[in-house]
Amino acid sequence: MTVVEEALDPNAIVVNSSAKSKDEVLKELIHQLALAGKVSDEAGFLKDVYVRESEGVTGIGNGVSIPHGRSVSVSEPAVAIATLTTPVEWESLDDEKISIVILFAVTDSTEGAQDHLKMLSEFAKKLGDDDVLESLKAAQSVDEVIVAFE
Amino acid sequence: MKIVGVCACTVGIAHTYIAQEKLEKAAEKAGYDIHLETQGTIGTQNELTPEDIADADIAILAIDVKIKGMERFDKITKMTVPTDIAIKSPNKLMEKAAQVIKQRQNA
Repeated sequence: MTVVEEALDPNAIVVNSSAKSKDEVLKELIHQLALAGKVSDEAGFLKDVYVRESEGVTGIGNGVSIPHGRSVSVSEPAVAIATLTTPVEWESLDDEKISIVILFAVTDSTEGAQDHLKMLSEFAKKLGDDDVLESLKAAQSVDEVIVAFE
Repeated sequence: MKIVGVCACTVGIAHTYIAQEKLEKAAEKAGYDIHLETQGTIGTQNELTPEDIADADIAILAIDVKIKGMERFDKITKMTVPTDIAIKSPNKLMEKAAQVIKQRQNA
């Protein structure tokens, strides 16, 4: 399996989400991760994501944000993605509204999670590539989201 | 121009590696050699050797936290920025690095 196939559970990808706020989209993505068995306590993880949000801006520019949290409520490192029909307000490096949200769920302990964490970091690296972000923004299906990273 | 550097962020899972990719892409575009070490949740990767650092013209430290081995850069010209800057303006950072080196050579 490629890094992307391993990192991305199709069930944790939401295309054209109608979420209207940062809070709504975070809750939606965390719920998807819970359904996929990656998060054990949705409220607990949400709280830890907001802890990280309070420490610094997670909008990386070009309408993309990468909220993330290290949490005991995460059972397995994972990533969830939402593309939004309407951009939402979000603190970002270029003050643009956010239309793509990529949520990283990180386990509190690295023990037994090294492989997954390595995969997440390789996945994160791809987000430094503007071409990937452009393809991601154009994606209209779960498959197109996955292909954007290949 | 030869650049070395370290990327490290608070959680050590996302910004570190995005900054790495952005800086590598910007250096490639500018025609510079770059070798970036990452210090993240999974530990140190792409570790710099003393030779790498001795051979470099400048070090770019894109860091939000204290890093291991900071003293390795004591004897080299360095620029320290938050990872946010590396992510937001990687090309400007390359220009700035070139300026700093030029100024040092003229001094």
